[in-house]
Amino acid sequence: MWVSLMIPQSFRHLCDRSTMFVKNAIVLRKSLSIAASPKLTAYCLIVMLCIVISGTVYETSHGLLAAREHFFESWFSLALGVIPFPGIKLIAFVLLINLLFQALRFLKFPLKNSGLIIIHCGVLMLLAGALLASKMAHDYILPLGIGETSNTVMNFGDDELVIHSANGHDAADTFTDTVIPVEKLRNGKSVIVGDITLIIDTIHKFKNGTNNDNARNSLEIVMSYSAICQSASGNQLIVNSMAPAQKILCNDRTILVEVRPVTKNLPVSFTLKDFTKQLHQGTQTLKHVESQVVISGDNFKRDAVITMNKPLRYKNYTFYQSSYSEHQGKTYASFSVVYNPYKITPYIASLTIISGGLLHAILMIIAGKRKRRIICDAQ
Amino acid sequence: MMHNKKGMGRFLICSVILGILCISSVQSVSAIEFVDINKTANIVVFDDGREKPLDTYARKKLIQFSGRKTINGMSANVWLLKLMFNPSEIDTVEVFRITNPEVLDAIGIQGPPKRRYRYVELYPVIDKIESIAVNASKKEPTELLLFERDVLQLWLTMQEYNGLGAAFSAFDQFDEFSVHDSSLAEALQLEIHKAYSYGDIVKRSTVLSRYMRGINSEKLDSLSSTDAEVVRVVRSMYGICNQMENRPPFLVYSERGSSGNHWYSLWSFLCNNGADAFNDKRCSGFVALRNAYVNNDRKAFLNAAQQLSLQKFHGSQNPGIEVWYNKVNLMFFAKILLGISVILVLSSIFSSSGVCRKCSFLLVIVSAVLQGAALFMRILIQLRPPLASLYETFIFVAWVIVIIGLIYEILMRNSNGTLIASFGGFLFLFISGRYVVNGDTFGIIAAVLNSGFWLTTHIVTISIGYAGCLIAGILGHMYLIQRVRNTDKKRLDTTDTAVYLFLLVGLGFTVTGTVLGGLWADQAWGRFWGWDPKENGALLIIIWLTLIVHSRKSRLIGPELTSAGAVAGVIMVMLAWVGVNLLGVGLHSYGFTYSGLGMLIGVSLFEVVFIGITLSLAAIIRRRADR
Repeated sequence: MWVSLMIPQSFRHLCDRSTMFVKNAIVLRKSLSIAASPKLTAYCLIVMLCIVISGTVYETSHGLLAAREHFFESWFSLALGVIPFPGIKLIAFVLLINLLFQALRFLKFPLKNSGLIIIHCGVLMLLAGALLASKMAHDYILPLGIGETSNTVMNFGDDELVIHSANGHDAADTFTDTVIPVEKLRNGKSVIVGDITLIIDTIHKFKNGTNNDNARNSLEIVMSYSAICQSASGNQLIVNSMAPAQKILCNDRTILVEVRPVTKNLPVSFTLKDFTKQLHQGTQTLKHVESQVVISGDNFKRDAVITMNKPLRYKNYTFYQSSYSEHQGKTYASFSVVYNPYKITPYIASLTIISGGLLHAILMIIAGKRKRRIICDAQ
Repeated sequence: MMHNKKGMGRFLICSVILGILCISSVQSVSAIEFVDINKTANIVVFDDGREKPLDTYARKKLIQFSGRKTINGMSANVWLLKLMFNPSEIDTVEVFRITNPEVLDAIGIQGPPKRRYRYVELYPVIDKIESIAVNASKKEPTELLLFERDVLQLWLTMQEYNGLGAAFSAFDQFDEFSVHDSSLAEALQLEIHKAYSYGDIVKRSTVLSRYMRGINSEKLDSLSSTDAEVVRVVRSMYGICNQMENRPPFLVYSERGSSGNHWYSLWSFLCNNGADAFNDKRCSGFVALRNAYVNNDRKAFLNAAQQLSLQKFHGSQNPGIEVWYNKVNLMFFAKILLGISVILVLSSIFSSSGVCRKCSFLLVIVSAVLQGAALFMRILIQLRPPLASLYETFIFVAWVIVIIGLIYEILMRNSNGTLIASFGGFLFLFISGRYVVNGDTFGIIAAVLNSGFWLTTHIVTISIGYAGCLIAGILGHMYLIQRVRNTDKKRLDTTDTAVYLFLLVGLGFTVTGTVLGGLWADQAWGRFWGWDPKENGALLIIIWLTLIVHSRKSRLIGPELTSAGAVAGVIMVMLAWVGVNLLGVGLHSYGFTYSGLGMLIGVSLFEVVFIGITLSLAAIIRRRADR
C-alpha cells in the first residue's frame, strides 16, 4: 500500500496499460496458437468424421435434402435432436482458418516443401470454393413434355409462399402479387394483398416418411385474415405444399394462396423436340437416353443434344439429363439445371492438389535418392 | 508251336485294338456325346441385357438352380442342352437346392432331407408350392417369413426350369395340332388324326391363312367342318403362342421387329414370323441342332453347332474367350496359389526357411500373371475396363495389392512384400466370390457408367487408393504384432516407415480418385459434390487418412498409434467400399448390394479387438521396459 502511495498517478496508469497490453498480447498469442494448432486440425477432422457418418446414416431414413439441411450444409446441427453439434460449414470454416494460420506459423518455404504448400493451397481453394458455392450455387429442375417450351425452373429443395390475385370471381386469369421465400416467414408476419391482410399463425414442417432421396418435406402454413372475406374454412386458411392453391373470395377479388417449390425464370427458353430412351433388353437398366432440345434467347436459337455424361452449358447454367417419366401416354424429360458461378473452382483446386501431390512425390524421390547416395558415400 | 502262340497273341492284340478303334469310330459317327454337346458352348444367346455364350448362360442357370457348376458328371452346357432338347432326361437329376427344412415341411416332402431334389420329386407337390408362392407374392418383401421367401424362390426357379424345358417344345407333338378333317389334312399335306407339333403346323400357315380369309367371322356357328377345324387349329396356335411367347432363353436375333429389342425366344420368333421363321438362318440352325440331338445324328449336330457358333454379334465379339475364361477359371487358380503362398511365407518367417520364401515369392508372381491375364481377358470380352461392379473392383484391388506387394518385396527383400501380396490378394479374391451376381461375373453397364475415360481414370485411381490403405492396414497389423513380439528396432522402424508410406500412397490416390469422381459427377449429374453416400464414403477415408498423416507429422501420435490408425483404416475402406452400398440410397444405385453386412461387422469387430489387445500388450511391454 505504501509503495502504491509513493508511485505517481501517471506512472501507475502507464503500468496498468502495459499490464493490460501484455495480458492482451498473451491472450492474442494463445488464440493464435490455438488457431494454428495441429490439435485443432485433428479435432476438426474427428468432428467432421462424426458428422459425415451421422449425416450418411440420417440420409437413409430422411432423404438427401434433409441430411443436407441438418448436417452437410448447416453451421450447427443437433445431435440426438437436442445436443448442439457443429455442422460441416462451421468445421470447414474453422479448418480454413486453421490451415491459414498453420501455413503462416509452421510452413517453411524451402523447395522441398513446395509440393505440400501447393497441396494445402488447393485444399484452401476447395474449402473456400465450397463455402462460396453453397451460398451462390442453385439447383433447379426443368420438367418438359415432348413439344413443350419453357423457361421456368423449380428448386424442390426450397419452398416459397405465393399469392396470386384476380379481379372478379374468375380465378383463371390471375397475376402474381407476392412471392416470399418460406425461410423468411415468421409467426405473426403479415402480408397485405390489396385491401386484405393475411397474418401467419403457424408454420408446420413435416418430414417425408419415405427413403426417397429427393422427396420434398411437406410444409403447412396456417394463416388468418380479415373476416370480411370468405373461404371454405371461415377466416382461416391452411396452405399445404402438397395441396393445390387455396382460394379466398374478397370484395369482388379472388386471391389464390399456395406454397410451391422456389420457381425462377431463366434468361433462355427450352423446347424439347424429342426424347429417346433405351433399356438393356429384358432389364430395367438404362442403356441410353437422349434429349433433342432447342435453346433460344433474345438473339439466338440453336439445336442441342443432351445425353448422359454430355450436358449442355450456357453461361453459368448447365443442363443435365436428370430423369424421365411417362404420364397419360406422354413422355416427360426432367433436366437438372445448375447455376454455379464458381463452377471452375473445384477444377482449379483439384488440379492444384494433384499437381502439388505429384511435385511432392517427385521431390521426395529425389531427396530419398540423395540421402541414399550420401549414406553410400559415408559407408 | 511257340511261333504259333506268339502269332496268336499278336493277332489277339491287333484284333482288340482294331475292335476298340472300330467301336470308337462307329460311336463317333452315330452317338452324340458330352464332348460334342460342349461344342455348342460358343453359341451366343441373350440374357440379362447382354449377349453371352451358351456356356455362361448354362453355368448361370445351373448355379442358380443347384449352386453347382457341374452336375452328375455333366457340364452346365450339357445339362442345359439336355433340358432344352429332352427335358425328361434331366427331370430325374437332383437339381433343385432346398436348404431350409421348413420349406420341406410346408410343401409336404417326406423322408430324410437332401440338399437337392429332382423335378419329378417336386412335381407332385407343385400345387402346394404354387399356393404358398402366390400368397407370398402378395406380401411386401419385408413382411415375408424366411420359408415363404424360400418357397417363392423355389417356385420361380421351377417356372424358369419349365421355361427352359419348353424352349423347343414348338417341335414336340401335341394332340391339339392333330387334324381331324380329311380335306384340311390333305390340303396341309398331313396325316389325319396324327399329332403334330406347332412347328409342323406353322410351316403350313400360308394354307391356313388362305382358309381363314374365306371364313366369315360373324358366322362362326354355322361353319363347314373343314372351316371349323381350321378355326380350332388356329385358336390352338394363338393359345399356345400367348402362353409361350417372351419366355427366355432368347436364342434368335432378328432386326425385323419395330421395337428396339432384337432378341427373341424360339417360340416368339415362330409366333411372330410364321412360316417365314424357317427361312431365318439362326432359327433354322437351332431347329437343325435340336432335330440332330433328338435323332442322335452326331454329324448333323456338330454341323449345326458349328454353323450357329460362327454367327457373331456386336455385343459378344469373342464368345470363345468368355468360354475359355469360364473353363480355365484363372482367378480360382490365382486364389489357390496365393493361399499356398500365405502358408509358405508364414512358415518362412517363423522358420527362416529360404526355400519357402523363394517358393512363396514365385507363387505370387505366377498368381499375378494369372490375375493379370484374367483381367485382360475381361477387357477383351466386355470391351471396357473391368471395373463396373463390386466383384470387378474386388478382383482389381486384389491384383493391385499383389503387384504392389511384389514391387515392395523386390525393393526390400524382407518377406513383408510377399506376405502383403499373398495375404491381401487371397483375402480379396476370396471376398470377391460373395459378389458374383447369379453366377455370372460379367454384367451390363448402366448408362451413367458408360464413359470409358471416367470409368478408367476414376475407378482405377480410387481402387489403387483402396489398395494403398489396405496394404497400410496389413502392414499396421504386422507392426503391432512385431511390437508385441518385441522385434528389434530396425525391423520395427522399417515396418513403420512402410505403414506411413502406404498411408500417403492411399491418401494420394484416394484424393485423386475422389477428385476425378467429382469431375465425373459434375459432367454427369451437374455437381462436383452432392453428399451422396458413396461420395461420403470416399470422404471418410480421406478424413481418416488426413487425420493420421497430420497427427503423425505434428507428432501428436507415434508409430504405434499410426499403425493402429492404419488398421482402423481398413474399417473405413470397407465402410466406403461395401458399407455405403448396403444403405441402398443415393445415385450410385448400380453398386447397391444386400450382401456383406456380416462381413463388415466381422471385420470391424476383429480390427477393434485386435487394436485393443495389441495396444494394451504394447503398453504393458513398454512399462516393463521402463522399470
